[in-house]
Amino acid sequence: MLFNSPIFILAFLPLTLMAVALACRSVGASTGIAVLIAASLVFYGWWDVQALAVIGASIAINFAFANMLAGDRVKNRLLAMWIGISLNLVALAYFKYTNFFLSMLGERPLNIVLPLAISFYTFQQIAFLVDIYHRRMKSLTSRDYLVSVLFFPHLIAGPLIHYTDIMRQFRERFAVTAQTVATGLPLFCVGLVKKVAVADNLAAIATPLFKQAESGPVEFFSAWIAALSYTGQIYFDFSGYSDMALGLGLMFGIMLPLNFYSPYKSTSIIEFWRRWHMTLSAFLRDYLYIPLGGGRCGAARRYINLMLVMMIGGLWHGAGWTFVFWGFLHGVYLSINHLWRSLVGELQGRIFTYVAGALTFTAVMVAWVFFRASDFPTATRILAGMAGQSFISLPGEIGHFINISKIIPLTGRGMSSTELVVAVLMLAIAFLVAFALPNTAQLFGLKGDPPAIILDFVAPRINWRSAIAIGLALWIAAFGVIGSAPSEFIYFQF
Amino acid sequence: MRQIFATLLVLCVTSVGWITIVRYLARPSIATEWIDGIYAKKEAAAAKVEGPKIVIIGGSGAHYGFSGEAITRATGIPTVNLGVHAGLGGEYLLDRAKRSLKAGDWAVMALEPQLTVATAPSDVLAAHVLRNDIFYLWRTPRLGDAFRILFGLTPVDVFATQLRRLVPWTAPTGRADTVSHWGDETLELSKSIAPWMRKHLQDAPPISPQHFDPDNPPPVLAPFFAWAKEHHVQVAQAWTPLLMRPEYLEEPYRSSFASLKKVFVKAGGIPLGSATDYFQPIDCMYDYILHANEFGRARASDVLAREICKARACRPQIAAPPS
Repeated sequence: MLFNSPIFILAFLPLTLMAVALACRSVGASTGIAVLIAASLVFYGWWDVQALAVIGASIAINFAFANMLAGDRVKNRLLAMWIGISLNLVALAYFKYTNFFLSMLGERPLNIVLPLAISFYTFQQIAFLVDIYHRRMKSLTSRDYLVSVLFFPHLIAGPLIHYTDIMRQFRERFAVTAQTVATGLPLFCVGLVKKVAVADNLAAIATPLFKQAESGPVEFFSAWIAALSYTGQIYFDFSGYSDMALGLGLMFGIMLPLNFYSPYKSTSIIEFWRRWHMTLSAFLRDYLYIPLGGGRCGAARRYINLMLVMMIGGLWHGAGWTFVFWGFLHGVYLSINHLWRSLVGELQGRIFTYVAGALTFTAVMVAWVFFRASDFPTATRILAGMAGQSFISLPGEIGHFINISKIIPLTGRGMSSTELVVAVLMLAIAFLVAFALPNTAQLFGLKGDPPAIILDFVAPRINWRSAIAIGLALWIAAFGVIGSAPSEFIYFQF
Repeated sequence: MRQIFATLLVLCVTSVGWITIVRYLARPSIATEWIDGIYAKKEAAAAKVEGPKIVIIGGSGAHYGFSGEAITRATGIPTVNLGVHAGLGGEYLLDRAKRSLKAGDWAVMALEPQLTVATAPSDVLAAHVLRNDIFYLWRTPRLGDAFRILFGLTPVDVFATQLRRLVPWTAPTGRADTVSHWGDETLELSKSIAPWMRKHLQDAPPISPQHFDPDNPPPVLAPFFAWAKEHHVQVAQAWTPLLMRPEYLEEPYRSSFASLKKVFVKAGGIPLGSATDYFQPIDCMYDYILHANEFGRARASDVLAREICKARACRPQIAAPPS
């Protein structure tokens, strides 16, 4: 069930909210949590009932290991933790990477169906095992563990959460009231508009251009539009999803961690990773980079660790060399950024800020080309087109209107005039929102600095202005939710 | 609670405002304008026939594939080609055809293969309904379809259409003025075939075979069968001219075509030939596997006229065209 589908918005969500509210009021919060767990299972099983068996087995095994680690009966707790982590990684490797490795060996792929969200819930539970090994939590019940993993707003594509943070909230503020719904609804609407009005329209521009690049060269302007459109699409798609998840969490009184903080406003790659997919960055830092030694073992080791972490991060996103290369590129970017800081330090001044921002954005966009492309030749065709290595052409009508036919050939071999104008306009709107408008955290007064994951939240008062804004947002969203078949979120495939 | 009403009010007011823009202020797309223009001509032609007539129902495959005038001359029975645009969907085309049918008429259904299956309303239907047939929103087969039509044309679509309309339309097709007062296409499309169209036809994949249960007619067709029975309209089945491919003569296509024929027979419809009778060679097609040129149109019209005369008495060359 997709957050942007009519079945979710018009049936599942209202029914779940009502059922949980009724259970909480008539019996108590624990029954409310039980109802929420049942609803989350329906939500997950809607895609593929068989995948429930995989997630069920994963939860059962991790809970068993967690109980072992929580008590003192096991002699070698470290070994138990590593066995638990290994089992998680073996399951992930089997479902996600078997065919990738088989293709490397030139073998025929097996018929393995990737269970939805396996990357997310596996990482989530590895973090849980490590936390319980370090005794960051005292007690553990099966109901609490189930709801921490299955809570449907974050189940499919995050945000990745820490058990202690989420369970503290379930104990202290879990409820469904008119106030919680009114608090979460505006955030949900903002996310929905980001997804269906911006991301999906940018996808309609980027997808055919990347498809074209699979079979031949791409024209200069088309290549730039393809790269920029995907750069915008992935941001609005995933940050839209995260806003919707945050809004849904708030409807149950739960504040999920913030995942985005205007990443394209970053003036360095280091800053970009503090603003982009913040919960994954934090996970990779806390459970991979720091255990590997982080920056404590000398400069050379730091760069090796950075490269390793980012390449694993790339592989986590998808079983393909283009994803690994995307991670490698970011590893290189981060290494250069750290090296620059150690050698030159941070330069001050407005001009430097703009130059650094533009450089960071361009580097991120180039990396997204590899992330999006189905293979390396496709990515290189897009990049070659952007570098002017293929051909340059404008539609005849545009060339005629702005009288530049002597400068740019008007062969009409690129996008049509309508496609080009619509694309430029959509990109202008998207990047105006990304660069010039406040982000969700600023808009809704979510307090905390970008690196802080769990934030305090001041519930906004619903006034006439916000009521009108929500009405407008719902109208915009209706075109994507009702008027066309709902599209999947990019991160659902990971 | 007042704020919730305010939100809903904004949603309703904005939606009404948007329909007003689409309906009265924005320029329609070429397709919408074409659909509206040819419906006007075809429905006017049907309305002028006083006695029993034949109405051919379908999408653009039927529009380009048959000549009502030629069939009228060959059979002596006034025949109107009501083929319009497959993007409107089978349910809309059949619903709209009811306006042109009366007791004693024959409804010859020459639906494109995809029209026998219910699909979500397309942007073509949304644009047409919002602009030209708003009351269809009350008659949609499913409540969800009405909302889908209401929000089926996005601001980006409308903006793109306005841009496209800045450029003059120079293609020979998509013009209502090439449609005769019989409702027939008059273009000699064989003269405008470009090499890419030929290649497009050669490279086109075959249609998907479908299998129908004669005891359970597809939901798209069943309501029309019931309506026709109630209003004493005789249903008949013809086939849209289709680019011939050798595999269509083999399984699973043979049984697929046969199963659709059985659906019509079971519902009391008269089969007017088999799918193979309407297959066309590539020289008789235009830009799409279901779009015949004037040669294909003449061949398919001959077949249909012959089949009609097998099923009922004909008086060739007698009837005068509707004027």
